[in-house]
Amino acid sequence: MLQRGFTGIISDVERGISEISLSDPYSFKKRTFLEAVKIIYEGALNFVLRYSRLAETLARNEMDEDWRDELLKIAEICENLSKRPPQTFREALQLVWFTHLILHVESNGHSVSLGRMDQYLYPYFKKDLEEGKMAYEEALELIKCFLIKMNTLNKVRPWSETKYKSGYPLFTTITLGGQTSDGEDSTNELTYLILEALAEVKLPQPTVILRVHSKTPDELLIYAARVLIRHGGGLPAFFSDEAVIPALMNIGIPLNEARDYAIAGCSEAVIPGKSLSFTGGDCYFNLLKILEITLNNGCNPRNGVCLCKATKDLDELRSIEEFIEEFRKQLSYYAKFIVPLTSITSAVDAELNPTPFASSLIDYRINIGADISEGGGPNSKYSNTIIQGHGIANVANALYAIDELVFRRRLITLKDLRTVLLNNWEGQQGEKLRRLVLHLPKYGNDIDEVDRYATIISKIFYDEIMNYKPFRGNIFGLSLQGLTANVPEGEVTGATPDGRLSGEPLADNASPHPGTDRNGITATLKSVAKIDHSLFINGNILNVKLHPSTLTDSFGNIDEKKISRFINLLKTFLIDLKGFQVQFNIISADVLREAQKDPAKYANLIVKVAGYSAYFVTLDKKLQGQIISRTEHVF
Amino acid sequence: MDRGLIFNIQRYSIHDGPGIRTLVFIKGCPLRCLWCCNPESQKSQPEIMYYKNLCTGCGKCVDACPTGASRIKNGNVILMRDLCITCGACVNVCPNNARRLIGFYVTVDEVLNEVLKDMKFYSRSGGGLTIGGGEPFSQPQFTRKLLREAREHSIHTAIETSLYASPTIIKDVMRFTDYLLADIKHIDPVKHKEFTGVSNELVLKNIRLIVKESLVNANNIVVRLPLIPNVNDDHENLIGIANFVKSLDSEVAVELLPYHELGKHKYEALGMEYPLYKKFKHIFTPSKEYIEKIAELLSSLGIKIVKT
Repeated sequence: MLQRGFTGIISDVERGISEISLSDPYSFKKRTFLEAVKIIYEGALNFVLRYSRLAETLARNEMDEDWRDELLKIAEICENLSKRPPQTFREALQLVWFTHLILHVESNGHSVSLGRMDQYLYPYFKKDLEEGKMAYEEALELIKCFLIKMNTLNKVRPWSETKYKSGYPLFTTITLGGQTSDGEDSTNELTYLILEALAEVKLPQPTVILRVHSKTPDELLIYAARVLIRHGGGLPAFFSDEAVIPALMNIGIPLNEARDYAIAGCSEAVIPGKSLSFTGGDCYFNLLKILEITLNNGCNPRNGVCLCKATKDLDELRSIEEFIEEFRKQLSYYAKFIVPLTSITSAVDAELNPTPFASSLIDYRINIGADISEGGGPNSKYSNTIIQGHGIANVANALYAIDELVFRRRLITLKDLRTVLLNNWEGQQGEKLRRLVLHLPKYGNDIDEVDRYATIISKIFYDEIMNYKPFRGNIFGLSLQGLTANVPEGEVTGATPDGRLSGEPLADNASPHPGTDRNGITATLKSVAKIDHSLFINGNILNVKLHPSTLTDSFGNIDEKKISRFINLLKTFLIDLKGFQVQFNIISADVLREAQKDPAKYANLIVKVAGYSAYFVTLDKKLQGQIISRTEHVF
Repeated sequence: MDRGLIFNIQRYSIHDGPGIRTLVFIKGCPLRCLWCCNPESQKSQPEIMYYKNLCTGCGKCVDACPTGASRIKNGNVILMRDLCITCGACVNVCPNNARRLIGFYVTVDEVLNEVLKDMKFYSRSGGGLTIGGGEPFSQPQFTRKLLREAREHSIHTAIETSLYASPTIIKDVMRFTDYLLADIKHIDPVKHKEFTGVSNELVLKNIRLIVKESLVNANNIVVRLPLIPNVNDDHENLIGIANFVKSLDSEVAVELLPYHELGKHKYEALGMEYPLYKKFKHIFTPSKEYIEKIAELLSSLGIKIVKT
C-alpha cells in the first residue's frame, strides 16, 4: 500500500480487469471482485479528499496561526494521498491510519494488525531526517498521535462474545524489532521511538510486541523493560524468534520469509502481506471439559448428554496412560466437528462478508482476482484457521492428581472421585480430599512429573486436530491462548480433579492456575517452556504478575541491576528455552488492597521484601499497608 | 555431613550476589542480632510459625495435635511451644494456612537437583548458587559439600555469612567459594556483643585472613553494613568500619543494608518478642536521603560503595 498508494492500486486493478479473458471460467467472479475493489478505492480517494476539504474549510475560519498552518498541512497531505503514494514519513503514517480505518469500516475488525511498523516506515523516516525535513521530536509526536488515534476505534459485540473478550479489545498489534530476512538484527531508531511513544501515551491499545532473538541488543531490551514499567499496563509483550520461526517453518514457510514474521491479534504468527490467520469462525476447545466428560464415561454431567460413550468402564482403567487414552478418544470425537463448524462459518462469511479492501492488501489477491474469504490461491500455505485449546494448566494438574491419588497411592477409585466431584467436593471426605489435592505439585513450578502432562496433552491436541483440513485451505493452526474464555468456560465445567470448584474459572492461556505457581518466576518460565511451542503457530501466551519491586528499588526508582537481571531472565526464557511469548503485569496498589481482603485468591502474590521475598498474605496488615503505600510511589 | 537443615530454596534471587541466583537458606545461627529480619532462621531445629491473623478458630489443629500443644484457651487457639514436637500435623489440617513448619532436612543431592534447574538462567546472567540463611557456617560440612558439588557442575558459588566461625573451617569452605558477602555489624567489640550476642574479633580476623591469603578475590568480596539508625549509625562506627575495609584491599566493596521492619511480624508468629524494641526507643526506617548521606560519607573516605 505504501509503495503503490491508493492511486497505484487502482491502476493495478484496472489493468487486472483489462486482462481478464472471456475464456476464463472464473472471469465473472474475478471481474466482480476487481470492480468491487475499484469502487472501494475510489471511495477511499473521496474519503481522503473530504478530509482535505474539511481541513481547508476549518483553516479559513481559524484565528490561531499555528493551528491554521497545521490544518493547511493536513489538507495538503490528504490531497497528496489522493493523487499519489506517500513520500514523507508523515504522509506514510497518515496512509497507514486511513488504511487501518477503512479496514475497520469494512469488516468491523478485529485483529487487524499493523505488522512491522518500525521496518516499513523506516525508509520514509530516514529520508526525512537526512533531508532535514523532520526532527526526531516531530516523529515522536506523530507516532504518539497515531497511538492515540488507535484508541478511537471500538467494536460492539454480542454479549455471548463479549464474555470471551472482556475489556473492549480490538487486538491491533504492532510488531517491533526482530530480524531481517538474512538473519541480522533489524533494530532501528523507529523501534526505540515507537517504544518511547508507547511509554508516554500509556494507553491499553494497540498491543505492542517486541521480537527477541539471539542478536537482539541488550540496550533495546533494557529500554523495553523501562517502557514496561513506565507504561504500567503490561506492554510491550515479548515474543521469541527462536520459537516462532521454527513453528512457521514447520508449516512450510521458507526461512527467509519466516524471519519477516509479525504478530497479529494476540499471538498469531503471520507473514505480513501474505498471511491470513482467520480469527473469525474458529473453534475453542475446553480441554478441561473434555477431561470432565472422560471422567463421566463420555457424558456431560451438566445436562446428561452422552455423545461419545466410553468404550471402557472407569473401573477397567489401570493406569494414567489408559485414562489419557480415553481422553484422547473423547478429544478425537469432538475434534472432527471443527470441520463442519468452521466450514459453515467460513462459507457463510465468504458469501455474506467478502472483504475486497482487505483482500487488496494481500499481495497476490489482485492477481488471482479472488476475495480472501474464498481461501485458496497459490500462496495459501500462509493461511490457517485458528483452533484454540483452553485450560492446559488445569488438565495437567488434574491428570497428575488422578495418577497420584487413584493409581499410585490408591486412596480412591476413579468412580468415587467422580462422585466427589459431582458433589462439588462437599462433605468431610470431599473437603479433606480437596485439601490434599490442592497441596499436590502443580504445573508452573518446574516439576517434571506434573509438567509432562502439559507436554503430552498439548501434543495429543495437535495430533488430533492436524487430521483435518479447513474449508479455507491449508491447515488448522493451533494455539493455547484463550482470551477471557477461561471465565465462561469455567462456568460450564464442574468440579475437577485439580481441585477446582464447580464453575470456577480455568487458568488463562498457557499460564499456571492462579495461586499455584509458588517456586518463583524461573520455575514458571521453565514449566511453560516444556510445551513444544513449534506446534502452535497461533501462539501460546504466558501472563506473569510481577511486583514493581522486582524492577525498582524500595523508593520506587528503576533499579538498573534488577533490570539487567530481568532482561537475562527474558533472554533465557525466550532464546535458550524457546518459550513462545511472555507478558508481564506490574501490580498496582489497588490489586494489593484486594489481596488484603481476599488472601486466598492472591496466594501466589510475592513481594520482594528487601533481602528476602514473602507471600503477601502472610504479612500482617500493617506491613501490607506499608507495602501498599510503597507501591504507590512507583507510578 | 550429607544432610542439612534448611528452611527455603529461593530461585530468582537478585540481591545475593551477581546475576540470577538460587539462594539456599540454612537454618541455625550463632548470632542473635537485635534487628534480625529472618528470626525463623536462628534456631537449629524445625519450628512452627503460627499466623494468628489467619486463624479462624476452627480447632482442626487442636484435634490433630498429638501432644496437646495446640489447644483452646479463652476461646482462642494457642500454641504451647514447650509441648510442641514440630510434627507438622497442625500444618496439614489447617484450612487457612495459618500454620507453617519452618525447617526441613535435605541431602546435598536434593538441594543440588533444585539448584541445577536454573542452570540456563545462571549461564546467561553470570549467576549461580548462594548459601545464606541463618548462618551457613553453623552447618559447615553441609555447606562445604554443597559448594564443592556446585563447583563441580560449573555453578558460580557465593556465600552470605557473619564469618563467626573458626578460621580453619573458614579456610576449608572458602576454597569452593567464588563470591563473598560478609556482614560487619559493629566495629567496637563491646557494642558488637551487645547487639549480636558475640564479639567481633573472630569476624574481623576472618575477613583479614580471607583477603590476605586471597581465599576469595578481593573484587568478589562485599562487606555489608546493616544500618540501624540510632543504634550503629554513629560516625565513630562508620569511620571505624571504613578504616578497617580500607586496610584490607581497595577492591573490597561495601554495601549498605538499611534497617527495615519487614521481618518484624514473624517474631510474633514464632512466639518471640521483638528484641530491638526492648533495648531501644526511636527506631526508624531510614529515608533515601539518609542512606545517600551515609554512602557519600563512606565514599569520601575512599570506600567503594555497591549501588543498591
